[in-house]
Amino acid sequence: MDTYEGVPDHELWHRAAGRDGAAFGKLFERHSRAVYNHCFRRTGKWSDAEELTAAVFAEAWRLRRRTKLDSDDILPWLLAVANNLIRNQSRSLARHQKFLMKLPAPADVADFGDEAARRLDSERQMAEVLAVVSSLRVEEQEVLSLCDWAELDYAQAATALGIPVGTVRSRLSRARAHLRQRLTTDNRSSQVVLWRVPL
Amino acid sequence: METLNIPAAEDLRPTFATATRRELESLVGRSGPRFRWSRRSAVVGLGIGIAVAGGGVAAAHLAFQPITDHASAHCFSLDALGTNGTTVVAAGAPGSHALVTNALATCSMLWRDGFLEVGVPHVINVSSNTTVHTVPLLVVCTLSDGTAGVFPGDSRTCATLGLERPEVTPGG
Repeated sequence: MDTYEGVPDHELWHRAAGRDGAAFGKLFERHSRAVYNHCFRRTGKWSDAEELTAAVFAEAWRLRRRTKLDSDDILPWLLAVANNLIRNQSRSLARHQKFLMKLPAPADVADFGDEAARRLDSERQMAEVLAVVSSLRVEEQEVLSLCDWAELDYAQAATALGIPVGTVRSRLSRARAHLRQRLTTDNRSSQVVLWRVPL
Repeated sequence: METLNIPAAEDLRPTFATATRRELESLVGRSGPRFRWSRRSAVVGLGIGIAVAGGGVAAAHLAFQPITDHASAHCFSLDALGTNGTTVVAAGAPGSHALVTNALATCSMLWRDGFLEVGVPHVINVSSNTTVHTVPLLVVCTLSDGTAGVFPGDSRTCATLGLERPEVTPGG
């Protein structure tokens, strides 16, 4: 029986603060996939995303005394932690090196199986996207990744980024406009639709 | 029309996910000092605890009250104040000042071993503690005497009882 099934995030967080490892494990089970894919879409590397995902949760635990969760959903905050780690990836990973050393090594890139081929394809695909997105300011990339890729609403993104909802809207609007302009310049598309984001 | 295609979402490799979860649970569980609880100490603690439980526990509305008295803690079996459940004390050498440094873990052990059961106000006489019982959701509140009170309940329970929750270190 899963004791923590249906228990809201803030309750699990409080229990974890009381050194209940299983409660923190439940938060990992609930949100690691979203964090993993967010990290991949920001870095373009599955292996980096794996390490970052583990580091995000270790960092979240490190920050527990400074963090007061006001929302039932911890995911926006976890994605914000991910963004902060990605901003200075090498230093962030170094901080959690001891913890990361205990985890399995990244998947073997020399593996020529279907799985490896598919992952390489998606990395190429993402590199193409990031090549365009990298022309934006970091703040714009962050709001774009939270709202358009991770599908947070404006309020959640505002909470995650610690900025007003109005700023999220304007920053997102500016980022999308820049991208459309960029795509047009590159003769790739003059259409309104920027993304195709599969679930 | 051409768009930027975002690759499909993937799952973490199961081996990586399992190992990460295990290491995180271990990291969280071992942070800070913990009360080392053994089955033998559980019996000793219970013996002393039941003897003092009759004293009752008073509640008060307080703005904030950290746990200041770690000499004992009270494991309630009902989400109500009173003499239900039992008081636990840390087992230590005679004359020593052993402390209950993680009330939540200590009380969880009593639930897991079947000494406490939902809806049963008194401590159950367990003849064999080989069976693992389900631990209900537990919450730590600060009692009026500064000790920790561990109740079956959720984040609203303390407020309902007119108690405050200790900040960050509810195990304390």
